[in-house]
Amino acid sequence: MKSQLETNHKLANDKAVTRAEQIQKDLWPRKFGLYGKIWVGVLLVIFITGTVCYIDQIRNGLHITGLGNYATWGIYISNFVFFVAISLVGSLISAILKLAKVPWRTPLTRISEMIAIAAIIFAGLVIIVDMGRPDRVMNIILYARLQSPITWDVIVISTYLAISILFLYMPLLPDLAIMRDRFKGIPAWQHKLYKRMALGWNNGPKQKLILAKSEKMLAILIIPVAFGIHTVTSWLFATTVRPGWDSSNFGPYFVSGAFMVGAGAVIAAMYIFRKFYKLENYFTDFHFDKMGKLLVLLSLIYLYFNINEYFVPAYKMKSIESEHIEALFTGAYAPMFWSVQILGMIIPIIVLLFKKGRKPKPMFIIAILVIIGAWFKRYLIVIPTLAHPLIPTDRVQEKWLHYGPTFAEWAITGATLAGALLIITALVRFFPIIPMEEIIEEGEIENNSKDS
Amino acid sequence: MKLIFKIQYKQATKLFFTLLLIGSVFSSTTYAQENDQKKKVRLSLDYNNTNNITRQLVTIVKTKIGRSYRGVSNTEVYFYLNQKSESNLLGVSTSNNKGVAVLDISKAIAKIVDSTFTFTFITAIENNSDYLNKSKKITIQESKFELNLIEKDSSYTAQIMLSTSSPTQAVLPLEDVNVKLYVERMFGDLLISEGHESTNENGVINFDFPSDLPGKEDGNLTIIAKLEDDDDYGTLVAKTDMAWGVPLIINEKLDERELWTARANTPIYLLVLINGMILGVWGSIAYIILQIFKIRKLGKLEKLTV
Repeated sequence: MKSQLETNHKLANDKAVTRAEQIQKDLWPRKFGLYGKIWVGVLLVIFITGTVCYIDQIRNGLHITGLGNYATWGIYISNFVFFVAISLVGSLISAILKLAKVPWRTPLTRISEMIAIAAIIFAGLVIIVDMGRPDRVMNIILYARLQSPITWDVIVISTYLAISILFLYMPLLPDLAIMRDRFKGIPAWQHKLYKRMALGWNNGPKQKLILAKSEKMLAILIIPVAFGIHTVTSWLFATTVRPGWDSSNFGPYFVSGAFMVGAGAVIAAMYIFRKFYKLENYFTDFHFDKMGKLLVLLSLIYLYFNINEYFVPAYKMKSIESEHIEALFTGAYAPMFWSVQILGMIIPIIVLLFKKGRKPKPMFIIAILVIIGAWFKRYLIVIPTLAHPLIPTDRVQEKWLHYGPTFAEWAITGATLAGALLIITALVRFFPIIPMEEIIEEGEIENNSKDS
Repeated sequence: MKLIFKIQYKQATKLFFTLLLIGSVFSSTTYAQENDQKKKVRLSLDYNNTNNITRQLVTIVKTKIGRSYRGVSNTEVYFYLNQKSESNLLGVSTSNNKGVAVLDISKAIAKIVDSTFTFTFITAIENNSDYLNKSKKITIQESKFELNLIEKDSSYTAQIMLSTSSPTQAVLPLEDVNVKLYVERMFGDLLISEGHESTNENGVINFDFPSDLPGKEDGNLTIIAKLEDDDDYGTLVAKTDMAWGVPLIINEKLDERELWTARANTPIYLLVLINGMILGVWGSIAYIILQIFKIRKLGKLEKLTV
């Protein structure tokens, strides 16, 4: 009887070892194939083109853009708001779902943190791009006025970046140790990198305890900071009295929109990595289904805030607001406004309500619609309000009335988007997209519970 | 033999004249090119007299760049009295980044005693490596420009007097000259007069001065009389400080700790709140970073134990 038990135990152990090895084999970072190289090449071309345009902007000033005395914030700032929004996904998946003990979140945590870090780095850089005198960037800190929401934004963005980096790095420690010990056939520098970064991790109980505590602390810490980052960004607009921005609804309106686009970004990334890295066993239909339901919930919340944001001023039609509302509903911005609302919000809600709509392929298309819609939504938040100033200039130049981004602006904005994708690509090239150790451990727990 | 010599002589003569022609064409082209490389300039010349004490000659040097004329910087401008000669040189001034060259001639004028007190001033660009020679001449009748501020029965009057100025001849009032009255403000001078008034037969004009203009903290205003850019007298300015303004009361709210004030006056509650939050969050971040070092230390210890 005893020997039978020992044999069973040995078999179970062998099974676990084989499973662990399979997981590691599936999730090792890989060299890029042809598609990967083309992807990196295209991103580099876009990035370099934008960089050249930015050098031109530094040399010749902001007049190479379409910005003027009315539209002082153009697509640079709408792009900034987009980046800040998308970065909130880190806190949604890694923190909120972790604290809610949602079991299916494990494979999604790493990729969501990578997206968050890439987005928040470029959110900071885009602000510098928008400056006429980037050499004076340190003045924001040296001469900061604590009364200004801009100062709050600088503080909260740098804080969020720091926490996000920790939130990516700390759960990576066990995986780094696995790669240090078992990842063969890699260059010496790469091995050295893993060794250094793994900090002598040996899966010891004390180390595990410290890590678990730290991760929990980070999860609690990141939620108010994440809410803070996008609420403060919304206050950059809402603390003015301009039509379209003068709203007490702006904080939750921005935060809910951010969670929605963040979830969209994770779904798109899940689909791409599942397809090209053959991760069907990790990003399963079940995960897509769950993420689909989450996206519906977030979209409905965002829809609710949208109704509040547009219905109330449209019902009152105060003279100062009416011009702005009419420009959005029936005026020059109407095609973009209705496309964004219908394609980027209503259709995703309808499609994702059905089980068939929550399959990987339709989910990917919906996620792309959500992301594109979210980018143009930020454009609609920033630009139309600027075109209708409270105190219009006497005998204003015609070109100030109509903002249109120049090629340089598109190229620079494209470069920031490409840059963020390059960061994610580089991280994916050297680190596992899915937390290996956590998946192995969860499997062990599952097996043990089955055995018992 | 003779024939050969003749042919050679003819050829040599032809060659000589051909070379001479080419040489002359080439040298004239070079000369023309040198001159072509130099740019043309435009000069203006103004004579400024402030409070009958400071006298300046002001020249603006401009050249055509693209379709518009722009100031030429760092260029030497020569100023002469009556005629261009070394003995008549008043001085040399270098133009600034807007192309303006200014020469103070207060001392030079004071030394000259002349019955008419009429001067011809010449400004010139000479022997400049980048610009062609150019000069401009103006003739100015030296005059006396006075501003008297009269306060009577709590009403204010600014009186401007204009007359000829000569150390040897009788002073004559200057009639029918357009003068203006201004008050100095932060970003420019505010016109107080209508702008079209002229002196009477006594060379005098009186302006009622408003009593409700905001002044400095002590009520002081800088009142300025101007005769602007006159062909005969140049630009004459007379300015005086007088406490005819409403004393400025500085809003003490700006010194209080409020949301709209400067960074030095941040409200205490905001300072405490924001710094408290920064300390709380960054303190936690520092604690977590400390845990990273702890993990590292544990890794090293356990390695040693093994």
